Amino acid sequence: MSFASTSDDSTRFYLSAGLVVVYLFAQLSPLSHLLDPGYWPLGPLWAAYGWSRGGPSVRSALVLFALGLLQDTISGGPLGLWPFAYVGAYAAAMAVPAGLSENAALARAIAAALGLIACATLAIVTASFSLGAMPPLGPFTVSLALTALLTPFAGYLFSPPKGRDVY
Amino acid sequence: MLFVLALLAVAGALVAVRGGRLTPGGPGASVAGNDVAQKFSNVVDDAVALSARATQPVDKFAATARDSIKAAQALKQMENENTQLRLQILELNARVERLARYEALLGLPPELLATGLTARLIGEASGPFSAARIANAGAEVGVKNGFAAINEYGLVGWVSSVGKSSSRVLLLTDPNSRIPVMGEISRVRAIMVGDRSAQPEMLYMSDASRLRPGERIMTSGDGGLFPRGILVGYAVREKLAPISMGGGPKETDAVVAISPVRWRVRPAADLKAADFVRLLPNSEIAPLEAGAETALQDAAARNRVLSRPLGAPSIATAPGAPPPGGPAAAQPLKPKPKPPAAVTPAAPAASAPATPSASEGAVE
Repeated sequence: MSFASTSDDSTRFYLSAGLVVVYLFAQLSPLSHLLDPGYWPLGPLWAAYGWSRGGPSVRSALVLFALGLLQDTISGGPLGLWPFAYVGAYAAAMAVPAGLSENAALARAIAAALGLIACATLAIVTASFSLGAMPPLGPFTVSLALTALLTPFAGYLFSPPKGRDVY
Repeated sequence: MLFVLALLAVAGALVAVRGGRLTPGGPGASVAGNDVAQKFSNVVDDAVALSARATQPVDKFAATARDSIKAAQALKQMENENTQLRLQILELNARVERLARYEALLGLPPELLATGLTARLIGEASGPFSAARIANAGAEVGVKNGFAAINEYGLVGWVSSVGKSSSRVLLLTDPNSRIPVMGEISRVRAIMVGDRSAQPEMLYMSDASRLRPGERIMTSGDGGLFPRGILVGYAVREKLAPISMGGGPKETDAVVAISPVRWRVRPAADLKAADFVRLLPNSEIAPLEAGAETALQDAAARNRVLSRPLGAPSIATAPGAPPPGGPAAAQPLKPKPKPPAAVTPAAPAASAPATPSASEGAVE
């Protein structure tokens, strides 16, 4: 585990975290009339993927946990669902085999896929426990698909500077 | 006048055509006759158009006069209807007051009159596993958890959490939403469960075979969560894929195909378009021990509190204010005259305060 090594990294980290907070609060704005927030891409998942490229960090995990709690509160979903899913996605995205780190593009794709799968699985399992039944998957599937489509662009905002990523 | 001119034109045209045909001079003579007829027809047409233009203002005036007469008649009719409705309101108010007195006399636990307060849905607070809206009324105006949210079309949802000046209204489609409902005609009871689709599902139905597609679904009031009789939506039957049962190795073995059916509810209110909602309190029933009069006064006080317009300063009943329900409600109820006590060994029990029997009051 390592904390941020430079002040630049910290600034970048907190700015990107603030960006996610603004994105989550935007779901309460009139923008929600354009598209049901249930279908919105999962912003914190981009952060989980981007921050995972900087290596393991307690700070990142804690902030992701807090962002998940914020999303729980805003969306009115089962409390604990999103923190669990995002921290799990963060951990999964770092589980890229070391041998793949030379092929950066492949490693990033696998990291994003692992994070997405972990997030989906944990969210569905947690929601199942909370609701006592299989949760409705329609909006969640759309949300995940939009997140995956936009990850190559949005994930860039959360990635560490060149030379500081692990793959 | 127009009619006469039109007749003249038709007659002239007929004469001209006929004259052309009967002219004994061959085709040339017939052509000349047609020319004359055409000219005559043109002249008549011009005359008709001119006269129509001349009478146009008169026609307009006549149409305006007709419309004015109709409008006056409609206004008169609406005034009559308004008068009748006002009379009906007066009568209904009198009946409500009388019903409250009857309930008090009989010792019936009064159900709260669901008056509620009005709020506006100002935001969306949904997620992939939730569907909720934010209302601009909170605890400071008397909103509490469990209040039903309805609009002019039917039930929209219920209040799941309350803040100081806002509250979260869980929509019918939220997967956490469980609402006891019943069919209006069949009286089939069920629990309506949201699944984030446009039409919530009905589960735990008492007798699904009696339900009919299109039947109005209303709140049943079971559990005291919602007032009874709020329109929720309309029953929708959804056929699922048939399930084959039976069938053995022999060809003669019968195969029974069962077509399972799932019942859903098409909400009467358009949940996406809902903006103004009425927040109704739970259909609480006062405890029997509390005494009918106290319960009645509490209910009336609460109804009055909830009937206040949004943003009124205080929800507490002002001391010294006239009692709810009018001066009549302030008068203490006179105890029923006691029947002559029979001299029996159980006399001490019979000499208990002459309150109406709870069991008698509870039986309908």
